[in-house]
Amino acid sequence: MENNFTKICGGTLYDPTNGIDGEVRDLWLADGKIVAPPSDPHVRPARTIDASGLVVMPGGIDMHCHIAGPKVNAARKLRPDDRRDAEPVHRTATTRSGTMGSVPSTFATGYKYAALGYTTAFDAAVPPLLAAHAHAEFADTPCLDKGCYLLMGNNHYVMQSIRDKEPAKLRSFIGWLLSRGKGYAPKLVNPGGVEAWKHRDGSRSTGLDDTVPHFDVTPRQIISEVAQAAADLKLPHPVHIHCNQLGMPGNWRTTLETMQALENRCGHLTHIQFHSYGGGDADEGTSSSKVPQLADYINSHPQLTVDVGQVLFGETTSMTGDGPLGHFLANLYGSKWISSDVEMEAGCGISPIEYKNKSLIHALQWAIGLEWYLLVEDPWQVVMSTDHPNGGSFLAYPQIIRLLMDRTYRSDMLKSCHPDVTKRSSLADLDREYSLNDIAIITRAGPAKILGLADKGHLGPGAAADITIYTPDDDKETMFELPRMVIKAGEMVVEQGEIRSTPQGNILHVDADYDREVEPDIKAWFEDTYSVRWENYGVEG
Amino acid sequence: MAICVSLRSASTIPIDFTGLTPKWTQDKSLGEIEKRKVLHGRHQIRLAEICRVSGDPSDGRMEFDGDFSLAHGIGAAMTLGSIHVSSNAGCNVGLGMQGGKIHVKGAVGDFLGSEMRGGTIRVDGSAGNSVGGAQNGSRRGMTGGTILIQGNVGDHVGHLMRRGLIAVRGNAGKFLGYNMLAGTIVVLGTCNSYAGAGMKRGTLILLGKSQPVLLPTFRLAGKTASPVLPLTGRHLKSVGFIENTARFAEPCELLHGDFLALGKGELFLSN
Ligand SMILES: [Zn+2]
Repeated sequence: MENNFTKICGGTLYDPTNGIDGEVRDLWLADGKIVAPPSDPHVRPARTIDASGLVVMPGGIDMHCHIAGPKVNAARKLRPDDRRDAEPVHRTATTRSGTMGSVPSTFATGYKYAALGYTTAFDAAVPPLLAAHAHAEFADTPCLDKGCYLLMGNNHYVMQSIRDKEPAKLRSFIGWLLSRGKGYAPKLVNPGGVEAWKHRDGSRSTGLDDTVPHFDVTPRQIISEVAQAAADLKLPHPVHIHCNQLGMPGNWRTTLETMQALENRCGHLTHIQFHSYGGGDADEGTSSSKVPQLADYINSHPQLTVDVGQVLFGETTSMTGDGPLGHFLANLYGSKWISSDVEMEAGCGISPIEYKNKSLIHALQWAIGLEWYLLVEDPWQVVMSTDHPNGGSFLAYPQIIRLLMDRTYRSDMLKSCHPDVTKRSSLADLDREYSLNDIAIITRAGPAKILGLADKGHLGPGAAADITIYTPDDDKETMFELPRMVIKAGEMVVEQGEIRSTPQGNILHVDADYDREVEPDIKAWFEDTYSVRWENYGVEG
Repeated sequence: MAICVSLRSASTIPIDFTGLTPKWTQDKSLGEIEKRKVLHGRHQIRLAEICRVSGDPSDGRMEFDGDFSLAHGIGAAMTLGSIHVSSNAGCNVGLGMQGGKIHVKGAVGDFLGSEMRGGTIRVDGSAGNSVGGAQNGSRRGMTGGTILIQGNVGDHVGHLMRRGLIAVRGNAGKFLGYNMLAGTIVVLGTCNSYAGAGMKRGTLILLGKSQPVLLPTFRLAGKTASPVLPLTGRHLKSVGFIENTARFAEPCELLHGDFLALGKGELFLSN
């Protein structure tokens, strides 16, 4: 009988969404989806994949990385030195050539993510004005479904609407912006703080109740009003927050206040590692971990989620919509720097950075990241990320998995770090180890749920046939860095590190239902302020 | 007896010889050397397709016979032995070299001795931009070794240089010692504008007949008979770069700068 079924036989499934924790089951696929087994027991699949002895998980989802758009490309231009000595990606019959380093070229990014078992990724900071650039790069980033979050936390129209107490306008503007820029979620980066810095040099430390010059609003208002508008718009991923005061000693209070400002609304706090520092007076030497206090709050507030932004030792490139942060880092390390003022919307800072295990601050950042994974009790509330490439490359994910699953490895690495780290963080006392099921949650099931992606991150009927098959190994880094097979929408994309096909992947974006009546008002403001024409703004098609 | 490489025919397409060093060839047969892949434009080809190879590589001496203006990376990353080019050579000659000697009879392109760490390069003709400089985006230029050029040089000579000596018998272009961190650059000819722009430390010795236009961020420290000058002169004579040291014996003006950077650089100017 003719059919287009594929059957994956005998694999050990980890599908936390459906409560399957390491059970041997068969999976049936058809038309790019996972389907229920055919009711007729005589149906034979057109293709069979033998997964006996292998581990089967949904495809990985990176919910916070920087892989496309203006800042990523600016970083590529800033860092020829980083690419020159990195092993190039050579062209094959199925793949294009590319370059590596901390900011790989577009096609190489797609291949390397796929080869690591990832099938979906979100760029976390795209200025709407330049969203077309991000989407153009997405078109050259194969093997992945991808989407982007649009920067709104320093947008002039957003701040004006809040100042003028016009929540309906704000709501419609967010809906309009997401549709126009083909974004997936609103992103707040140092809300109000980037704009404040543009007005007053040195004001890197905008706190939640400081007033943004000219707009007369506070970061607290921006956070709570945007979160409310996003909730009213019923967005799948309401608000993705990069808190104020990233990297500053003592910033944990601001982070806690941000969590509190969300009240009972849903919200995601990103690269939380960079926002969990004790100490103060802008003196890095005083820094310490405040993860226990912050994780306590997360543990008692299930509507809040975090991704970690793990730091790994080595050289990388910092890129952020947080212009003042880029300025600070470049001054701190005396390195080259790009800063960009995206007119009415956002900022941007890019600078090379090297994390050293013998540096107390860097080692502390590494430890604080791990504390977050180990102190959030419910793995559904914490997501694995390096904030690629800010804390390190996505290529380090297998190493993070090993750090979480193997406490001996973890404590050995801790011993190689600056000795004072154990005094300033609780990492040495944490002996929790992640299970494969936990890993499946923080790398696929959890992010899918947090992003509201109903057909991703699980292996139940109706889910996209995005599947990664691993060869079990005692060394979890070995296991996760070279999947046996990666299947994207039913198509074999990778086998043992070799790219077999390069599907284009889908663009994930929301078409928010917003009130069109506000458009003339937005248009009037736009024509008045922007350097481009209204008709030329946003992403076509 | 050296190994001799010559072009089979003139080519308008660049060839990249990076990695074809005395150390690599030393223990190879001519057949193996002929099979080495080099980048010809955007294609990998066997060396024998474009070059004739003869002689004996075992003594660590290499000769490039003919006009290699379009050849990139001659002597790049070399660690020992010697390379002699009978006419011109292209860019990236001696890029990142750690030791050994390179002698080019003709002119060379840009990035001569860029990011070199040791060894000696002599050029009888002129050199292009960024002699001893940093590659695009790098934090450091040359960190050791000596570059001796009889002819003129282009702009950005010694860009981000950290250590070592560059000596130029002819004239130098703009931005000599641009952002240099340390090291010594000597120019016996004239020097174009912006010398020492952004230099933190290091020494520029400009002994040309006419004074260059200096940046306002350099401060005059006065006349000097610093022992650095005759010492440098004697050294350059001892390596055969100059015949007499008279110009190093005259008193000079000393300036400090660039005060937009650290300001610990020294600039010696002949009167
Ligand atoms: Zn980020």
